[in-house]
Formats: sequence, C-alpha cells, structure tokens
Amino acid sequence: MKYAKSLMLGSVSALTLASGAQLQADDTIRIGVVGPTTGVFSFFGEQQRMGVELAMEQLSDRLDERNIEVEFYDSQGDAETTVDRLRAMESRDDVDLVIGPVLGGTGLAGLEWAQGSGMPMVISYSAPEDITMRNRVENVVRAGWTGAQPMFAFGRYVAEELGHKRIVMVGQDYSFPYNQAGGFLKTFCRAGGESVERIWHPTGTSDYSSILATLPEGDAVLYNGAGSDGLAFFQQYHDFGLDARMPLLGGSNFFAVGDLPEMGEAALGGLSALQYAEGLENDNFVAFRDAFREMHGDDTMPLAPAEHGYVAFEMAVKAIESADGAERKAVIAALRESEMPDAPRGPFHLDDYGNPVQNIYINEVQEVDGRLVNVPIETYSDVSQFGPFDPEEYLAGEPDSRDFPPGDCSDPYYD
Amino acid sequence: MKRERLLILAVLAALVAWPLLMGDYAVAQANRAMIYALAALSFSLLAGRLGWFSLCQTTFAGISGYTIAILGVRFGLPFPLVVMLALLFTTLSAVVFGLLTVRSRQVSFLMLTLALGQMVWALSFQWVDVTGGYNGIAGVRLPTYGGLDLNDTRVFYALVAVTTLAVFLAVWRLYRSPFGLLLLGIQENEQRMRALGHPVYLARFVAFVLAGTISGVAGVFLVYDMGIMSPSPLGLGHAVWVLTAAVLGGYRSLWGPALGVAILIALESLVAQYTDRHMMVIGLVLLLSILLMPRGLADVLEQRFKRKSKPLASVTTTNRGDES
Amino acid sequence: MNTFYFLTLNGLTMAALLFIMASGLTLAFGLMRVVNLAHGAFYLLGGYVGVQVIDKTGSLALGILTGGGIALVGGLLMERFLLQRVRGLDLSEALLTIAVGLVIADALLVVYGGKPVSLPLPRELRAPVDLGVMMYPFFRVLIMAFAVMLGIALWLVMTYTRIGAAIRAGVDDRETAMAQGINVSRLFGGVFAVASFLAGVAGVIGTSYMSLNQGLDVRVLMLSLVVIIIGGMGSLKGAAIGALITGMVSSFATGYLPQFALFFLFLPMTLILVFRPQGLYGRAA
Repeated sequence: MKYAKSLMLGSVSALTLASGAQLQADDTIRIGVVGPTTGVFSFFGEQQRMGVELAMEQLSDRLDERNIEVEFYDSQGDAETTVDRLRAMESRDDVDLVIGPVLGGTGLAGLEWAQGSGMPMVISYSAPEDITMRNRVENVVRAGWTGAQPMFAFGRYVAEELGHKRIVMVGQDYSFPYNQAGGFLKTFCRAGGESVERIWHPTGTSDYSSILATLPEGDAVLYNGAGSDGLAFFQQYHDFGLDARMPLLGGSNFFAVGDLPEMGEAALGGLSALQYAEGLENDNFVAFRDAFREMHGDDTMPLAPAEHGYVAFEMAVKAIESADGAERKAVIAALRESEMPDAPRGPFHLDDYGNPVQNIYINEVQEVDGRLVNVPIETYSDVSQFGPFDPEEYLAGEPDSRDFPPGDCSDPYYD
Repeated sequence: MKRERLLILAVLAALVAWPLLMGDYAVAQANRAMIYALAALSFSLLAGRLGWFSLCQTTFAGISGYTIAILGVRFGLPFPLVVMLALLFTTLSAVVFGLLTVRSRQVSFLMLTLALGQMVWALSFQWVDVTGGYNGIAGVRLPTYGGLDLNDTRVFYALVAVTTLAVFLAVWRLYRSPFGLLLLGIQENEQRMRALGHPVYLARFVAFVLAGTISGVAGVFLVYDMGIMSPSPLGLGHAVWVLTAAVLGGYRSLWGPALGVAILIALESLVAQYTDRHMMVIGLVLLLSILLMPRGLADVLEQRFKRKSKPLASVTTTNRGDES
Repeated sequence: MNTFYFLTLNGLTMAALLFIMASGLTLAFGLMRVVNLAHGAFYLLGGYVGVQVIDKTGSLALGILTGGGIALVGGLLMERFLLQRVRGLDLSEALLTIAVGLVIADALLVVYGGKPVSLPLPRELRAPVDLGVMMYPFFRVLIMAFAVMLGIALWLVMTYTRIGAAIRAGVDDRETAMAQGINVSRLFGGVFAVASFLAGVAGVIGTSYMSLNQGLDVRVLMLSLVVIIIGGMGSLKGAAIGALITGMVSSFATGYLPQFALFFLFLPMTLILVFRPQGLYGRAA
C-alpha cells in the first residue's frame, strides 16, 4: 500500500515535468492527421488512418526527399478534443499542415480554429457545406464532399431513371441529413418529382417500429442516415415486411460506410449515391484497392473515408512539393490549385471555394466474389458542391434545414 | 500557518510565471486545466461537504456555454451581458435541478443527476433549431478592447487565472464559514442537525445552487476557449472525467480537485502520444484512486507533510472533512 | 393494418426489453444499495460476445447463454475483487462500477472495432405471425414472452423461496439478516451474478432489432435508470411498471411526433421526480 502510494507520487511528479513544452525547430516538415480513432465514430477515423498509411508507404521516397514526418492524433470524435489536438500540433509539435478532421461537428470546430491560426488544412470526410461555402477560409480546403453534393445526382436519378414521384424520407434529425435532403429535393423536384415527405427522428433512436407503423404511402422510402441507426432501421424495415410495399433507397452513407456485411443479402439491389464506390473497376482504383487490402488485410475494404484520407495526404505532399517547402502562403496557394487526375475515385479538381468537383456514382449493392459491395451503375461527372446551380445564387439562398427546401414540388420555390 | 502562506505564495508565483516561461500549448493546457479545476471544484463542493456525488456539474457548464453561444452568436448580444445572462440562467437551472434532487441521498442522488444530466445532453443534441444539434454553434469569440484581444492565449490566461483564484478563495472562505461547517455537520449526522433546528434541506439546496453557479463560470470560459459550443461537454464522458479528477486529487480538500485536474490533463496528453486508450486510462485512474487512496492525493500529501513536521493543529478545514 | 395495435405491440416489445435490462439493476440496488453503473457495459459485453457466438455456431440459445455467461463472470469478478474491498461504502462501489464500465467499453472497442453489429436471426424467427389483431414478427413476440416469464420467475423466487426471503430480509435490514445466519456475502455475490447475467442476456436479445454499437452502453444505462427511477429504485414491480410506461409513451411518441421522442422519453421521469420522488413503488428515503 505504501509503495503504491509513493509510486503514484513519483509518477505524478515525473508527469508534471514531462508535460512541459517541447517545441521542436528544424527543417523537418510535419503533417498532422486528426480523426476519431476512439469513440462512437472510430470506424471513420480508422479508415482515414489506414488510407493515410497506405499513401505514406507509396510516397515514402518523396517523403524522405522532403524530410516529411507524419503524426496521428485522436480527436475522440469530440469538438473540444479536436481543438486541443490542433493546438498541440501547432504550438507543441510544430506541425506544418493538418489533414482532417473527419466528422461534421469536429470539422466545424477545426474550421473555427483554423480561421484563427492560419494553418493549412485539408479536411477529408467532414461534409458540412459551410466549410467550403458560407464560412470558408483561405487556408482550408477539402478533399471530400458536401452533404448535398452526391444527392444532386441522386435526386435526378430517382426522378428520371427510377420514375418515382413521391418519396418518404426518414432521417436523423441533424444538419448533415438536412443537407442531404436539400440536395436531393433541389434536383428531384426539378426533374419531375412530386413530393418528399420528411420524417425526422432523434439521432440514436434504436426502435423504429412505431415510425414504420405510421409510415405514409409513397413510391419509395429513402433512409437519410447511417451507422447504428441506419442498420437498425434497415433491419426493422425488413422485419415488418415493408420492403415488399416500397423499395428502400439510402442516403449517401447508408450502404457505403461498412454496414453492408451486417445488413446481409437483404441489402442486394439497394441504391445510393456517393463520390466513391468500392466496386469501381478502373485501373487506378483497382491498384489502390489491392494495395490497401494487401497492407491492411484482405477483409478490410477501403471505403470512402479511407480513400479521402489517402487523397488528402497526396494533395498535401504535392502542395508541399510545388511550394518547395512548408511556407504557409505557398502551401495554401498550391493546395487551392490541387488537381487530382489519378485519384482512385476518379479525376477531380477543386472549385474556387476549395471543394472537389468530381464524379458522383449511383451505386447498387451487388455481390462480387462472395462479398457485398457498392457497384456504380451510373456516373454523373463534374458535379460541384453547388450541383447544377450558380454558386453566387446558391450562397444567397437559404441554407438547408429541417423543412427547407419545401417538400412539395409544386411550391413556387421550384419555379 | 506560515507553511500555508508559503504554499499560497508558491502557487501564485507559479501562476504568474507559467505564461511568461512556457510555450503557447502549455498555456492553452493551463487554461483548460483551470477551467476544469472550476468544474471539479463545483463537484467537490457537493461531494466533500455533503457526500453528494453529482454527475451533472458539467451539465451546468454546458448550459452556461450554450446560453453564451446562442445569445452571443444567434442574437448578437454584447459580451459582458451574455456572460451575466449565462450565469443567471445556469443558476436558475441549478434551482430547478436542486428542487428535483434535494431530498435524495448518496447513490440515489448519483443516479438522479446522471439521468438529469443525460436528459439535458439529449436536449442539446436534439433541439437543433436552438442548439445547432451535433454540429453545435461556431464563432463564439471574446471581443477586442482597444487593441487587447481577449482571445489571445495569454490574455485569456490572465482572465481565467484571476477568476479561478477568486472563486477558489471564495470557496475557501465558504468552507470555513458557519454555513460550510453546517454542511459538514449535515454529512456527518443529518438527524442531529435537524434536531438542532438547522434547515437541512435549505442548506443542501443552497449548496447545490452555489455549486451549479461555479460550474457556470467554468462553462463561460469553456465556450470562449473552444470557440464552438457542441453537445460533447455535456456528455457522460466529461462528467466522469471531472469526477475522476476530483477523486484522484481529493474532493475533501480545497486544492485537491485542482491538483487532480492538473495531473489528469498532463497524464492524458502524455498518454495520447503513445496510445488511443484514453478511456481505459481514465477508468484505471479512477479505479486505483478509489482502492488505493480513497481520500485522494491531497490527503496523501498532507499526511506526509504532517508526519515530517510537527503535527499542526486542525487549521485546514480539510481535516474536519476527514473525520467523517 | 391497425396503427393502434401496431403501436401498442411496439410499446410492449420495448417495455419487455427495458424490463430485462432494468430488472437486474433494480434487484442489485434493492439488495445492496449498489447501483451498477457498468450495467450498460455488461449489456455491450454480452451483446458482442453473444452475437459472435451465434455468428460462429448458428445457435441462438448458445449465444444468449454465452452472452449472459460472460457478463455473469464479469459481474462476479467485479463483485469479488473490487466491490468487496469497499463494501459498505455505497458511493465508492458505484464509482468503481463506473471505472469498470469505462475499461470494459474501451476493451470492447479494441476487440470488436467501431462498426455497428446486428444479430443474424433465422428467417422463421423474423417472419410475422398472426396475433389475431395483426401480423407481428415472431421474435418480437418471443421477447415479450421471455420478459413475462422472467418477471414471473423472479416474482416466484422472491415470494416463495428461502433465497427470496433472504433477499427481502437483506433489503429490509442487513444487520438482522446477518444475525439470522444468512450468508449475506454469498447472497450479494449471487444477486450480482444474476443481475449481470440479465444485462448480458438483454445485450444479445436487444441486438435482434437494435444494432450494437459503441456508445450504446450509456444509452442502455440511461434507459434502465429512467425505468427504475419511475418505478422506484429497488422494486421489481416498479421496474415492470416503469418499463411499461416508458415503452408505451416512447412508442406512441415515436409514431406520432418522432422529433420529440426524446422529450417524451424523459417526461414521465421528470413528472415522477416532481410529484413522487421515491418512484411509484419505492419506499420514501
């Protein structure tokens, strides 16, 4: 007992010393990668980390040449921790460029910090549109997407190709699904759709039976959410036999971020839209996928957050090379000019606001080699975060919310 | 008495020297440490004086933070006013929570505060129109007065340090006041205090509201420190973190919670460089603290201190708490 | 399809699951004044392990038993090696369970990763059966039946057996019970084991329609607390009534006002706290 106490006391004093400042100054260029590797959303952070690790291996010569070092930080999926890690990167670890954050809320917290700090930042999977729209700052660009972006294509596809007129949309009640709904409505209504009835439920709902009991009639149901909520909804939708009544469509993350094996065969034929599909078959993508699985195990499919981390890292290294160092202004300028003709997901470049203009794939769940994957069945190329709309007009409009844009397509808003 | 003075002087000197000697990140860490020291003090006020372990003290900090974010960013109210309104609103919430919990004891109190805290957390998550939901409200900034940017890490440090010191001093006075002694008396023997004609419920209730307000002060700084208000500080994780810090440092003493917070922050930032298992670390720290030194590090240090010197008379209020 | 019956059945299923979750918690609290805040973590532990066993062996019963069993072992170890050291200090016991919950949840993250998990039920269990008023998935009916049987079994044990008498004596007066020669220590261990077992079993059963995920431990703990605060801490009858109220309110609220579902989840608890703080069947402190 006494020993334990002295031991604790000793370690405490050692800790206090160790936690002091340790600013390093040398010619090493440091890239800090931040994402949630613990907590509820750790899957996303893990994927990003694995993607970055693959890029590090493939670019190792170029990293050595420039003396680039990489450090990983856990955001815990928490805004406060994210800001703390970012501060540590800047003033303790002398980091020159940040990749991440990954999630919506932490992305906005990171943006808030980056605005004050001026640190060059490549946001990977985090999708709030204001990061590259209303609150954009010069030093922050994005390698990923906005919530509305893939839905611009999906809205059109559902109206034009599937011919659905009335959609029942059940979604998680927060800003990312609002944005997805917004993108969907804005094109769906202009392509011949009639109405989208939105039903919002609290995030973290586990029992959907009562929502399903009162589900209105429509041509199809679109579940606008993902993760454990999405999985539970999917299961209960089938338990109550609603799949026989109305087909189930997915929001962008519904089938796309790792829940397919849990959904099982019932997911076959499920449609959703994203700027990524693990069933792509072009050379760049196949090389990426094979290398990824070789590095992280055959069972680990690279999904969108992994590719976005991979690509974000490559963008960062390219920017450092063309800036010939880590001088902030030059790196930021180079980042904003990023062109990625060989990205695994397909070629993209950044628009004037710092968000990729890229392919959007309409994906269908198919079985390939005994494994469920999202296979692209239709490609919409060069889709920007503004979809078919004029950026200035889009920015002047109201941001998407729980009930904006209107769910009735005959509303004068759509004229 | 002399020793005490020396100690206080040393703490003051360290507080002044820190921003002058250390790097930006160390100062930012100190800011967080002081903010959480306030939250842990709020927890300890209830735990140490009343034996009430609360899992909703961080909730009050969150309520205060949200008030500032909503009124300041959404409604554009000016800086000093939002802070006053935030403290007012936090105090009112503490009044409501206090009314709901004042009759419960020990474990029931722990469960009630857990449930109530989680309810507010759920609200902050769910009431998207007001709180911004999961994404929160960004752009919470302190103003600049005549070229002095209050958001600057070191200026902010001065603000936090002065306030934290003031609050700790006030609580120190409170612990030694008749009211503070009454609280201890209630913890020791409620029946006797009641028989002596002391208003037991009222005293408890007042202590609860006071603690809530202290947490509100922590919330003010918390939101300005982050620049964004999101539901995460209201989650159970933060409540448990504060509890762990207070138990580790020693919730019966005045400075124990501050010590616990400092150690836990240092430990976390050290551990984070090697592993992602921070949750396990917090769990193990809490576990070992309870098993090995239930009275906390402050008590261990004080005992050691006393053994080496002549035993002091019962000058610190801490010792009174230990008798219970 | 009649929406009213549908919502009622949903509420009953929810109530059944809530009862399975909360009964163990309230039993342990009633007997020992220990609130096991690792209850949610045991739910998670039982769920992950049980589902894995079902995945591997295809046997539902084996999965439920293993899920409950591993939680039972966890609970027993915790009781023997940690809680007994601070026996009598109710708060220290509660804090220890928080610590254990954190460690278990983090360990599960390491082992099972951060992806949500669902339970692969055989088709015949998922298929709807005719209940007279409407068709309803068979496994949901089973969950309700299980909860009712569990409730009856616990009630019988508490009312008619020596162990039950001992437990009730333990609740009423620990000292007297000890004086009467009841081995209180063994009794505590036994009740704790049963409580943890039920948490683990709930984890497997619950995964049949709620997916298992990191963070669910806190939600399960919260739901169980809401139930036993309404019913009265320590009361088995209270847990049943509390589960029914919570399940029904939540089902109808989710059906008609999904946006406010969370608000309605907490509404009964708040009302109880205002008007009857000891809970419906709790004894005044």
